[in-house]
Amino acid sequence: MDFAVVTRNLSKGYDRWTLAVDSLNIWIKTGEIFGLLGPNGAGKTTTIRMLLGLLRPTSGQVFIQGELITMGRQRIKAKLGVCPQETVLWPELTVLEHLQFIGNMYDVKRRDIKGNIQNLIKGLGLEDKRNVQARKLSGGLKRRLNLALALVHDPDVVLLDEPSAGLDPQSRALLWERISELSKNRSKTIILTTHSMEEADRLSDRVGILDHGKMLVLETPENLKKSIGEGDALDIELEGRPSDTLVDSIRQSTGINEVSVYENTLTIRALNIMDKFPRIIEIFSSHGVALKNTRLRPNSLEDVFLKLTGRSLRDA
Amino acid sequence: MRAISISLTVFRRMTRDFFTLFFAILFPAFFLLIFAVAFGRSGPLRNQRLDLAVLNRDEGVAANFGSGPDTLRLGAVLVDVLRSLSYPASSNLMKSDSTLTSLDADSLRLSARGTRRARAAENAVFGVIDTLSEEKALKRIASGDLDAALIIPAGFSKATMAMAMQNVIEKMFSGAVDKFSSDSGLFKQKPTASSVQKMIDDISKKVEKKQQQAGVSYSSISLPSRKAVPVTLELAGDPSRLSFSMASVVVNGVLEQFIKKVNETSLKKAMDFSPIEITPPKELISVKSSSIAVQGRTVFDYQVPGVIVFALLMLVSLVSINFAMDSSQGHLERLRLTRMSVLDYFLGNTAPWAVLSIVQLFLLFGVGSALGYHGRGNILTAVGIVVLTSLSSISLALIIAGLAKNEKQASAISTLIAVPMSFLSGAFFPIGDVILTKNLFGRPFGIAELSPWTHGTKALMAVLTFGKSAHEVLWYVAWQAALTLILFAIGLSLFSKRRLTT
Repeated sequence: MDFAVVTRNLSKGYDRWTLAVDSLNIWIKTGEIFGLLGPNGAGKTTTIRMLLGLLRPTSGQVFIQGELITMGRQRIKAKLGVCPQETVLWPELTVLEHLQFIGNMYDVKRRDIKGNIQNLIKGLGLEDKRNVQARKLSGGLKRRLNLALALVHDPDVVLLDEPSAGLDPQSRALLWERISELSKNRSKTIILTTHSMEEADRLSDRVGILDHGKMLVLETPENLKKSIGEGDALDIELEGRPSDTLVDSIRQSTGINEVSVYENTLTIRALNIMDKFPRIIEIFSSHGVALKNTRLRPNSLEDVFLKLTGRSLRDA
Repeated sequence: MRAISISLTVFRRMTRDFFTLFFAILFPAFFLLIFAVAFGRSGPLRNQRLDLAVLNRDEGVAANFGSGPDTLRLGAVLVDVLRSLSYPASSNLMKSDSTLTSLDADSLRLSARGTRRARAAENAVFGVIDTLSEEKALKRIASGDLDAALIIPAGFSKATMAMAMQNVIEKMFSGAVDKFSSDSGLFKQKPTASSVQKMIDDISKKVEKKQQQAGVSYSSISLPSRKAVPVTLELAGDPSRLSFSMASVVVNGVLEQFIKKVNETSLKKAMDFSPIEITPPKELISVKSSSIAVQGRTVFDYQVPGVIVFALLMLVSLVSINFAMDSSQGHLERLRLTRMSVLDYFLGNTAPWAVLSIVQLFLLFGVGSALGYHGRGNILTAVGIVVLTSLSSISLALIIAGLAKNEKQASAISTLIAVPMSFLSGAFFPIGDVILTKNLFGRPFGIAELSPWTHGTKALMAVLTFGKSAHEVLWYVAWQAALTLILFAIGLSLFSKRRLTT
């Protein structure tokens, strides 16, 4: 099998006592969208920076298309495209000037750069902004330009660090569409870091969940969700934390796969959970507990993270 | 290609950012305007009248040159000379020689009798006040109302004439010996009592003949004594004031010329009564003070090259902020992801600033010329010096950007360094240097010369204001290039280590 990115025992420590990334071993296939999930401070950005050669690992190695990153860095640079978490633009340059500038910095041939820029401007909906200076663009358009800069030299591997952070729904939908296209139609390998479960679930072929610098699990989103049980989940929000006797009563009820508690919310998983809903309401009534809010949803990666770490991704 | 792309980007950013443009280009031009207003039309070197109090205590010296007893009062003559000293209309520099040529025998006699008082010249160098007491004069110096006070001592005439008489005797004696030895061949052999007696007899005969021709009795002539107590003229003033320094230089110059003229006049007068036809010996060494009149030059002419260097020093702040912003705003990291090399980055960033410095040169030269600057040098040589000076500034900016954590720190550090550096480099006015060694490759070398901008200022001044050629400023350029290279090496190493390594 062809691997675009491989890390071997990759570690990074900023001080003597803590490792931001701890012995990371990843094999990312060519043409795959790989989602690196984790809360803030999990080590995602540190990992990305080491993959890019911007940060020297404390130990371990990174291979891009089989080539060790410390060797032949100039060659490897041309294979990588990066969309950083923060939009890094030159406020006084126009959209077109940005793309030409970065294209030139990657030594893209003159005959190719024009076509690349045309495609990107069209694909990312920047046609009527091509001559507008970056400082005059909206936040969403800046993010789109930020992504375009990562792709202008047509790289084989694209690293997207929190690409949809701060995007409006329209821009996010467009971005997701383009990311899927890059992988499906153009066989680009995409590494996506995000703390949006929905984004990782929708886009990723495989997901790695990172916490405290360690890879907790690496699987396809479907398998990860299955690992916590089949069926749907019912979130019931209460006024206060549910008592153990209430939780036990629900757990013992027929057909309930799993019951978990997170703060004031009780999550119940079961196949055809709506059939079991009247019985569940009955149990709450018998314990004299009033329901504040209910939400029915399929199992998500959030649940996987909660199960693996004991805490919600958003709060982690 | 990559370096050119970076240059183009930096240039676009520069030209689209009003603040940068204003600060880099227009700010020094405004500075020049202020300097032109302050120094363009007047200044310490241009026809400034100096207020001088004279306390003349000279008692004169008794003498009789054959026309009756008289008292020579050379102190009064000196005061007259100072009063009549003027700036020539066509020049900024005074021409003292012209005034002193009128100090002939007649004027000496007239003044000696105290009947003449020179009129203050229209364009006078000194406003002479001779009515103050010493105490009042010193008070007025302390309060800044007076530039200097000259105290002429009681024995001034005696001492001056003693010097003159000594000179006359020496010259007459040597003249007589020359004459007799050549006429009679007296000293071709060893002198004997009879040959010396013959010489005395010959002199006596010639004296009698001369007396009869001139109708003057030698018995009535009474020359001043050759013996006198040495005297000192005292010039008091505030040394912190430039006007006092100027007064001091002018008074010393006038005095030197004055004594020379008294000597010449005395010798001429003595020859009128001399029994021997003597020719004053040709002086082998003479001092001639001549004016170098440069039409219209002002202090502003010395300041324009300095302001250009100051503008280039201001680049330190702009460039270091630019580098620091590249680092703090993620531009540098984004570029490091591309195929850009360290050299691309530095070349790309250097070129636009060097171009800006050339624009500054032309702009400041143009504005300066419009405001009265008399630049006359080779502008292409000046372009070379300006580019080199801008490289010095960029190198310093690299060091600062390597040390500063963000643009605020870069701005603060640059100001702290660049402003004192502009003074140290003599960009605004020449400064006294602390000499490190008296002979480095044949020249003295001071602390200020450790700054490449000092050499830049000197080179630019030499080329633009004094019209010197590239060959003549090679010394400065070589030093500047060497010091810039050192700065660049430090900056490159520091910036690369702290901002460009993983």
